[in-house]
Amino acid sequence: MYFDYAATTPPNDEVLKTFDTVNRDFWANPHALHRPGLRAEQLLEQARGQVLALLGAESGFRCIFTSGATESNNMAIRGTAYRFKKRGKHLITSAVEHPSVLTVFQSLESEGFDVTVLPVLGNGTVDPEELKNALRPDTTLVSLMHVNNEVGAINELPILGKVIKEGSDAVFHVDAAQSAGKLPIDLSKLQVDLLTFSAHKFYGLKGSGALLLPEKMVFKPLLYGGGQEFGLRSGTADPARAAAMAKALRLSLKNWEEDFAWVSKLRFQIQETLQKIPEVEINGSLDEGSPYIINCSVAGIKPETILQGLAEKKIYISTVSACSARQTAESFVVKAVTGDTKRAQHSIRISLASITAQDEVDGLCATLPELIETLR
Amino acid sequence: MQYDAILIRLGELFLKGKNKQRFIDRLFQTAKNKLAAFPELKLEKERDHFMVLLNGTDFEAVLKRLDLVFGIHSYALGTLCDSNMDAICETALPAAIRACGDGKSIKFESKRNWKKFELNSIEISQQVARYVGTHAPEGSIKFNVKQPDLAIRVFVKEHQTLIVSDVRQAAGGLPIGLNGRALLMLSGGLDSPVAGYYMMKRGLVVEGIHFESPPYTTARARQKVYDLAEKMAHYLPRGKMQVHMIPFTELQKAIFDHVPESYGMTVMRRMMYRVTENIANSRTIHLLANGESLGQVASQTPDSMWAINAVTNLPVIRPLACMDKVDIMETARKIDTYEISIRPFEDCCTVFVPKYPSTSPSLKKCEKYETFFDWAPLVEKCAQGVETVTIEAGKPIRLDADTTDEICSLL
Repeated sequence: MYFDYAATTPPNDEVLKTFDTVNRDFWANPHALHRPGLRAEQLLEQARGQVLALLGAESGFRCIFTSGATESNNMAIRGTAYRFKKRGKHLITSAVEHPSVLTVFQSLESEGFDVTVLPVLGNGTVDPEELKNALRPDTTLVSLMHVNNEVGAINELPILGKVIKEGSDAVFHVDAAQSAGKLPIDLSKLQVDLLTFSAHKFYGLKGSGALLLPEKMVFKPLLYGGGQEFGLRSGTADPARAAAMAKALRLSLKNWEEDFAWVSKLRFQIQETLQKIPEVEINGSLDEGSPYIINCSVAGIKPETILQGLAEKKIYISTVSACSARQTAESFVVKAVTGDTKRAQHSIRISLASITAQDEVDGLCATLPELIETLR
Repeated sequence: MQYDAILIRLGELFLKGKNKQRFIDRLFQTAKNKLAAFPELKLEKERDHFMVLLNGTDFEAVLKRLDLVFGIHSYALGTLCDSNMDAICETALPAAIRACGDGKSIKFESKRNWKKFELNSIEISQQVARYVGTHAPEGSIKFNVKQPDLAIRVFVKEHQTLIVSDVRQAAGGLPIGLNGRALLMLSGGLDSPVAGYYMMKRGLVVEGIHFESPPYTTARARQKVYDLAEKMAHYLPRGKMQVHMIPFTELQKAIFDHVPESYGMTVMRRMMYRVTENIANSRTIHLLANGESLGQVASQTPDSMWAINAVTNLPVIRPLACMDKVDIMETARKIDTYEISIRPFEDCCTVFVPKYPSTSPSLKKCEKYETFFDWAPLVEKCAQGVETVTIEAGKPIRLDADTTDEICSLL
């Protein structure tokens, strides 16, 4: 019983089939001038077009295939910060971003940039008013996540985009790693300039992600070389990963509404169970957040103990996000959301997916209260 | 802001005399074809304008389609209401507030086709302005009767009234298809598609001619031409463009075997013009066009143009002759050909580039060098070997159709 889908999802069979077929039939270098190369390039470009179309980005945007959201975030944030450093050196992000965003800002700060880290509200979202007040004439970049990876809070992109564009000339970057494929994103209707995500969060493959950016935007790449991907990311492109991601995105967005309803139902059941256990507090919002992620703090028991206790019963949850799990026992996200160190030290995350089955949730709901009682 | 209707104002058709109606009919038909994808909307022809009733269709999507129709001067975007003063005032109020919100000053202008309406046009404007002035929040309206940034127009007809609160520029030019045809030399570079665009803008149906030199040029160069033609086809009647592909290898090799290197490029272009003229004659086209721009490369100096142009008596139009490269690039971006044109593949003009092409060739020398070899059979062979491809807008031809199916099943 797996409840750690926010960390990663298993690749879909169809996606694996595409990956396999492309590697067998389209393995030529897409930049080669011969016919096999032309075929591989056509596939690569069609995959690119499909990704753009699925995100409402057909016109005015480019899609760059990367190794994942971490690389995309690094490229987008570093690239933008340095691109506009003559105009200003003020950057804005929030306290609950993924480490692949926060640490980039930390390194930029040490390179002389002025970074404002916005606090979040009790439900885990960024307050538009707070953002408005933080904007300055020299603000060049605002980077905020769409859905938080630990508590599932959903930032209101239309409102935040509007605030940014009305109050500044800043570029708006959104880390959509936890929302791409799960929630519809239409860039033609949002005031979002840059968007990043990873394929393995929606049944695609690891090592595969994208950065969407305005067609007219240029910045310094992280990787120099043969000038592939519009010169922004050199290295032989991988049509198989690109095709697999395009397919995974299409498949997961096809039924997003049904999936959302199904997962919401499961979340509700888990939430009800959690609320009945004494001294368990849900972190983030009960109704507004993404149903795919539930976070709670269990007073008096170390999260690792709960994790191990459940693992013995073959139920797998996580403590802090997998990306922070090896460094610290305290969730900086939960700390920022609740303002409570104790809660941050005792938080667990249960994350769901459209493939989560009813009997898995039943199993979790039967086991968890009992386990907590025994451990206490 | 969603509008109910778009009033389409026609371009320089007022310059036309007796054949004006033909131009209007053609334009109407073209616009209608372009909008066929929107079942909800209705297009009506009026005396000196067209009216699009949107019935809920997104106006931006409609404008995007109409931007491909030459002969339209501008769009007036508006909201419909009943033809009585209460309805008119109520509809005009939010439109006025929004217009002034953008920092513009406004005035009202009215016109009534329906002469039985209770007020005359001046009274209508006055009453609407008075209503807006008293009902809008304090300071939200800026009137300027003499020089407004925007005139909000009220058109009163018997059954409904249109209140226009935004005007946008359209494609301009003349309706396509009534000014004859031109044969465009299409290389695959940045310039020629833009030249084609300007030809089409003046109402000409453009066919393309492309020279290819396999194996020196690859399939990708051909794909590039197909993709450029697909973009241009959007502007043509029925969305179709014909491209004549000329096998040029043999002739090109002969040139570089028989002509001194510094004159190779000049003679090559003379041969291209000859083949082009041949194709034009066979298709009864009387006008050639290309993307030459003065001073860009060796073949585009006045001396070169003179030496090259001497082989044909057909008029050659060079719409870009006096344009700057940056402006050409801007237009290429606008018509979506830029990204295609910059794909880095060899075309026949870049294959055998001499190290030092002559920038001031003499016509006499060209003619002399051309006597060393009997070119006519090879020119004839080029023209005979033409392969004509019809490319349809929205349906790009892939050289490898099987691959396309294969790819679709994978994605």
